[in-house]
Amino acid sequence: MRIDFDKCIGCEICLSYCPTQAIRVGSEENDTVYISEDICVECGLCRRLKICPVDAFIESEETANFPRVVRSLFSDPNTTHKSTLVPGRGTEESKTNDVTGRTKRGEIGICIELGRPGLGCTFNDISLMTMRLKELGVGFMENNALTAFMDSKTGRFPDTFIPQRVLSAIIEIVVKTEELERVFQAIMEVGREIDTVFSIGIISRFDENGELPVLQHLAQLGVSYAPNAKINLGLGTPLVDD
Amino acid sequence: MTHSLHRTGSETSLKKDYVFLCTPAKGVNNEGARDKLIKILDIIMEVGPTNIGFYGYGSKVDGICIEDIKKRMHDNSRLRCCFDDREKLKEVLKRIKAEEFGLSITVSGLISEILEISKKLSLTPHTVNISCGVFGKVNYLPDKRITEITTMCGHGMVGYRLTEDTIDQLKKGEIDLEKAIHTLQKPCTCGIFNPTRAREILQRIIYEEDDTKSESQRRSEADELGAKIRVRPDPVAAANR
Repeated sequence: MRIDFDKCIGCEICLSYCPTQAIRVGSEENDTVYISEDICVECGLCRRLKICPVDAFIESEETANFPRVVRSLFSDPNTTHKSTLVPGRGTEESKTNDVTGRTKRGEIGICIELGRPGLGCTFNDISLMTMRLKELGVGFMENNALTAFMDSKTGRFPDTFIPQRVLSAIIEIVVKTEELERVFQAIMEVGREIDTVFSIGIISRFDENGELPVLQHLAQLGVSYAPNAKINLGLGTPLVDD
Repeated sequence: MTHSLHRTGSETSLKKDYVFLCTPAKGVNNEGARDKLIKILDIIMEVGPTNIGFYGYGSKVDGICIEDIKKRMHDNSRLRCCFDDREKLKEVLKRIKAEEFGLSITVSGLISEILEISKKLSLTPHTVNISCGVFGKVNYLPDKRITEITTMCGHGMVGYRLTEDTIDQLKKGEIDLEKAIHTLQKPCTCGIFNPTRAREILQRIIYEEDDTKSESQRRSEADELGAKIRVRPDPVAAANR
């Protein structure tokens, strides 16, 4: 996104709205409002909200082309990923697990969402995490927009992706229950190296009695969890129950 | 995307917050899903959601027209809305179950509440996605009361600065509570930002905050509140014990 300097009247209304604070004001000598190309994640919110009284936001041509387009793919909730046909962050994760069986009983799905909440991340951050997980030999979920871009042998992303900044991106892996501790430890180690936050979601099946054995596993690891969760109610058909 | 998973707040506050999602699965049951989605949308509207939206169009705060949503809907569309009333959610689920649409339904909210509803409706929950919290450079994050608001838009469209500036304007009396809620709700195009909770959080921040307290006192109290909401031990240290 860019600002048309010929149109901008410098009212600064837009400054508050940018989720990454990429809209900035120049120096004291030059009070032009501009967008930091490095910080902007191309979420398109400034333009979409129509907050500018003179319609000064311009979507630059490069926004729609590689490599910069990956910014909007992972930041603009209105985009749909061609690889997965899924909008937003490009994965159905647990939402359709009742009919896809992506995470089965005895397995644990781990969603590592880098940049969430609200800080954003670069593909360098994402790469550090995916490469380490690849070394551990964990399985990456198919039908995930990140997995589709990743080198399947190394977990690395193309060099042109590395400096690109996005609002958040979800790495999805699936591990056996007994691998959870080792993988969690590795995630935390990489977490100290990256310069952002990340949120962790644990996907697991209810057992035959309607219980959640994963809660016990998390407790054993000393990992706490929120009292709220996302629950797939099992209303999809054909139901996958394995 | 896990955009309704990582909402934070006290259990009392989260009791008024349920996010409903209906998702046709690509390559499984998305073919012909549009008609079912429209019928489910009708049920939702009859019951009355707290907020509802549609990507590329807007949410309730934009004055969206439900007939327009229907026109825009296709087989891969998703339905997203939120409820501040558990009984309304229960009614929607009851009617969806009875119609046997066969589309995946997920609800984000307090685990205990959702399981109780499931039991009453004889539903068999299939899968859970549990939030284990935030890690990494958490010192970059603002006050937990700010993230209680911002995490209601899981796509991160409600930014920290917007929230802080809006609260600041509200404190100074430059805007009223309705305007503040409207401002914060607007960036969330999916319509899962819960204005009822936003009101409650803003009221708590504005009216219960004692301005005679120092910033460090306030932060310390906010941290204490956060600790009650969620304790976040270091899993690596725990694993090494």
